[in-house]
Amino acid sequence: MGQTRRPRFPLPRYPTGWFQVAWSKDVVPGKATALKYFGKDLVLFRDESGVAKVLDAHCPHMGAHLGINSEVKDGLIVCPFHGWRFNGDGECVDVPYAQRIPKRATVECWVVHEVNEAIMVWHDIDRGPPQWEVPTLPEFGHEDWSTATHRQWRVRTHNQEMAENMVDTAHFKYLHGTLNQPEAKVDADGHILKMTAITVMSSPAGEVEGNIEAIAYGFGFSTNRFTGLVETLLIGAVAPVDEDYCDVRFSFIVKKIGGRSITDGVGQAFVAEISRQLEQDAPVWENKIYLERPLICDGDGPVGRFRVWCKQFYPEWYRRQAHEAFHGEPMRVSES
Amino acid sequence: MGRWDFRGYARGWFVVAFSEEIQSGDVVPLRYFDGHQVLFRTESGVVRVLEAFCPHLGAHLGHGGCIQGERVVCPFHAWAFDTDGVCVDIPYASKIPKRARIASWEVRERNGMIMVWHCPDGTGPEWEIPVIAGHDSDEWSAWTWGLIEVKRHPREIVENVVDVGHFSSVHGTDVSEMRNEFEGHMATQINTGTAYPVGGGKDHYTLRATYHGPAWQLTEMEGYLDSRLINAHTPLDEETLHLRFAVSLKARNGKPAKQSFADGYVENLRVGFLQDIEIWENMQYRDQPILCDGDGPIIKLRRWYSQFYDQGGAT
Repeated sequence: MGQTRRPRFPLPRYPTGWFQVAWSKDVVPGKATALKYFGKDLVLFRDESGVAKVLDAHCPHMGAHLGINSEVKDGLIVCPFHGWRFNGDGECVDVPYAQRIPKRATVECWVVHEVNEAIMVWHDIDRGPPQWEVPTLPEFGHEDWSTATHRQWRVRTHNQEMAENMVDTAHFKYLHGTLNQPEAKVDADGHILKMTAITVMSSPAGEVEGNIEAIAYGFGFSTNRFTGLVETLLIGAVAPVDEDYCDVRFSFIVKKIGGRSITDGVGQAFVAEISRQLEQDAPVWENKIYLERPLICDGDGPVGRFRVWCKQFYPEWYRRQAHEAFHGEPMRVSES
Repeated sequence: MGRWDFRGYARGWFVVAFSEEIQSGDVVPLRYFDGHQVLFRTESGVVRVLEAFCPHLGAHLGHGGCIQGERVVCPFHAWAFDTDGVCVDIPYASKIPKRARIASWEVRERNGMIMVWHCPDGTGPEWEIPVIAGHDSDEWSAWTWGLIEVKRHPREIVENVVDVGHFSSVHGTDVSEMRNEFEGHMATQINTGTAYPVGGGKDHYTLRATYHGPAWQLTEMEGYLDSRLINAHTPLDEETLHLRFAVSLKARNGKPAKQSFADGYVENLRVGFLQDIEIWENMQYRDQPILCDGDGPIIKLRRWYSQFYDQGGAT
């Protein structure tokens, strides 16, 4: 009856931050890729100098998708419908059959940063410029470290729910079967949240004690460094696809021991173990609800502090809108 | 708003599963009454239904939860709940928070079915579903059953009980006599006639079909084969319901009825319901229907049915 569906979460869907939308190796010159993130159709391609560009997907002329059956010629994306050409800034530079290019012939251009072999896009619902940068990690391309192994999943959940895992120390033992409940230290500083912990995991080599240092840069990008049996760097990147789904991408690189790389047993076992953990989390995330007043007990990690940190990634108006859509009434002062 | 107000969900017993579907140790999600629940059977065989979500961080107990003894355990952080939904263990905490409990449903496992009591204001059961005599004996076969998801309000299914006119036109049955009795939460139809089964032939029958509350009907039929039918529905939301139907056949001369008869019977029922459903899914509900003198007492039935709605039904 014209009623919109009540959203699953009382949270805004698309937070502010850097989000991975592709791996560098998948974006080859001359080819356009259709993407869907932030509830929008997007197109990704490389311009003449090889710089990755992301534009809104629909041609302003008649609405065709610039990423489906389209070509990239001389670094310009060519609309498959009428051959209009757009540069990496989203400006139409050629309409092959017209004398004059209409002024409004532009498509929205996104802020892109290609780093750590990944294509990162800045999202801000208010379209503000980036408030921080994604760090360039020295391990990438370093001779002491392996090349990256990639894994990818699509999960029906919210960015914040996945990010909450980091401070939820109790679930590691009870969901994932780690041999202890890690003692975690959590520090928040601006957009960065840092967690350090000691954990015990089982491995082919028996019980291994290891240190974890996890750093989240907003909800979209985190580095997770494990030391113990083998020194490993895991990048976790989570991007919201639409109202329901998120894409999760893991990049693993391992420090070489005597010239051995991640293709060796220990590195592979580690990739398998972390992937197994993600696949245990996924059914929980896909079916849980978000409790605004969770029932926290004395052994839980700092979930409350985490949620305070989260608020910075949503503009105030956006949080109010999400609250109202979920609850059917405006947010009270005590809830903001 | 018309004369009849059947908003929300009726008060009564609703089947959520057949017993054989849930073994000891099973933990499964349900989605009835526009909500989410978890159904499980403990090691000792007790069946319970709780609201689905853990009060801790909101995980669904029916997706990955497990049974430990007489407890159901959340997949996320292993909080353990007893059969009343009270949290009795958090393996890593020294103290269990007072509010750590999950609302539980009133459940009956009876006649090989698992039923919950639904009442919008939380009031407990006002009547019971009867035990069907001999259903567990060799004299009657185990239920052969089916389930259909129907996009329709339950009242149309219930109205079938009195709608004598539709039997011949929709199901090809000749009804020679039909009467209806309404008493408290029960509505009974007594019906005799001739049916023409899909497999061919003729079947002279006498049946007594009683609704016990708004959603559970037992039909006892005497004919070529003596049989019992269950017709039960449970709303998923205000537009969708699960329709369950089951058949049990009586042994003849000490020999159990052939399973193929029961299978054929359930298939006949499915065909019958699908004939009804095609009409239900495409009809428009008439608040004040135009009735002819051969129609059953539809208005009487609506009055009976309205007692299960808290708003009182008739407005």
